[in-house]
Amino acid sequence: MAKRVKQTSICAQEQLGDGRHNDSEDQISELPDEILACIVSRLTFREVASTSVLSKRWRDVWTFSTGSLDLDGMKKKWEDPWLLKVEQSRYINWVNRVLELHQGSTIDEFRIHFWLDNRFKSSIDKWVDFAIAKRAQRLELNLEIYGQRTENMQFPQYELSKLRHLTLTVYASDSESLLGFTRLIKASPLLHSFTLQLDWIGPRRRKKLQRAPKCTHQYLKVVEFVGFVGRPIDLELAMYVLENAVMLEKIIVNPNRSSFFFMENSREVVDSEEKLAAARECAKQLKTLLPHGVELVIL
Amino acid sequence: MSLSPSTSKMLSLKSSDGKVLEVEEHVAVLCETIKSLVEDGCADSPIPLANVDGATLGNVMEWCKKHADQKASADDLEDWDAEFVERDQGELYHLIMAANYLNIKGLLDLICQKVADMIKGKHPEKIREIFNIENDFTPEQQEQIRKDNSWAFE
Repeated sequence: MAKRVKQTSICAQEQLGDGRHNDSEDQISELPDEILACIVSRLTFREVASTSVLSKRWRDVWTFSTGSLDLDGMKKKWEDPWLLKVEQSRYINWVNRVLELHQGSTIDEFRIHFWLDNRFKSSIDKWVDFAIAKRAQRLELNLEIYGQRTENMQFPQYELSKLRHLTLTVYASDSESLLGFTRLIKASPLLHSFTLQLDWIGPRRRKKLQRAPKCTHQYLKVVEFVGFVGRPIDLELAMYVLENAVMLEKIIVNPNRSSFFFMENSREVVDSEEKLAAARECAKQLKTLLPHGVELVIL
Repeated sequence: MSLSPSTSKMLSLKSSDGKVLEVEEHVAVLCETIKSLVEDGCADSPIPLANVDGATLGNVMEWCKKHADQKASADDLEDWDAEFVERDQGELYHLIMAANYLNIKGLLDLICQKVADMIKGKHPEKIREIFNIENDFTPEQQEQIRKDNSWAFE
């Protein structure tokens, strides 16, 4: 990731002459911004962010990082866990502030993780636009309560031309559809792997399988469904992938839910063995749709 | 112009402290800066490198020589690199500046990774101690930064 940096940055060493510094001097802080950017781009976002308290020199170094922007809001302790609305607006303000301050020309990874529903659609769309503009190679939208009516989502009209890995975590019910997310897949011509983590909620309802418009994906090789329930909501998306990802090598179906649950005591955290077995049975039906050479892995 | 080892001639490189180093051309051209000079036909006289001292230039050319060796396997290079970066901070500082000035992406990446590894997983206080960074914030400023970044820290 190291990039050639401007020659103007060399002057620091000339001032130092040829003398060797002794070990009690702070040399790292003398490095030009471009080289510090190169260094911090190799750290996790938490590590990069924590360098901002080192000294004034380091306050804004994180903004030059071209590594990971992993904006996980689920790790912070809430001041009042019942004030979801307050925390949502705080989280959104934080993400917006980070994106506003970020100066790196590209990023390797962009990840958001918080309880966000359709009311925050305009912010989320803006964040996806940011990931596109910074040519992110990895995008993860982990939206714990965001599944509703995704068929109406306006996801990007232009290309996520560098995106290689996409992970979506959604919270959805039978009355909804995830086919809106096919727009994100469509907008990512080089997408190599796609992971959908599903938190399913709500009563079981009969629903006709819908079909998304056809769109050939040349690069998509690995698709994983985590929290697979074998209902129309995930089956439609699985069928879409099998029909359109012509280079698909592997589809992984994992009925176990793995995401973080907010009010653990009030929700069923572990799925019953019967439910898991039913989901596995349902996943086996995908075998009949498997194109030649595609491996189906049921966990 | 052929830059293959069999036809490689010698280049003279002159460091900031006046030391002259004779280096095989196919080794020296790992430095993009020198490669441009060679390609432009400007590499006849000793090439002055005003921003690199003799000791650092020697280290840089040692790295280039190893990496120009076509017989070295990827594993071999990885082990060798790991040993190469075991140096004090002063040397690392001069190497990183030289790699940047001479435009050697592989060496710059290697040392940036080494420095990043020194920061990784450590508390700010420990990082300050390792690199002798003076905390010049007032307690109020420090608190404000912590507050602004509380989502990232906690």
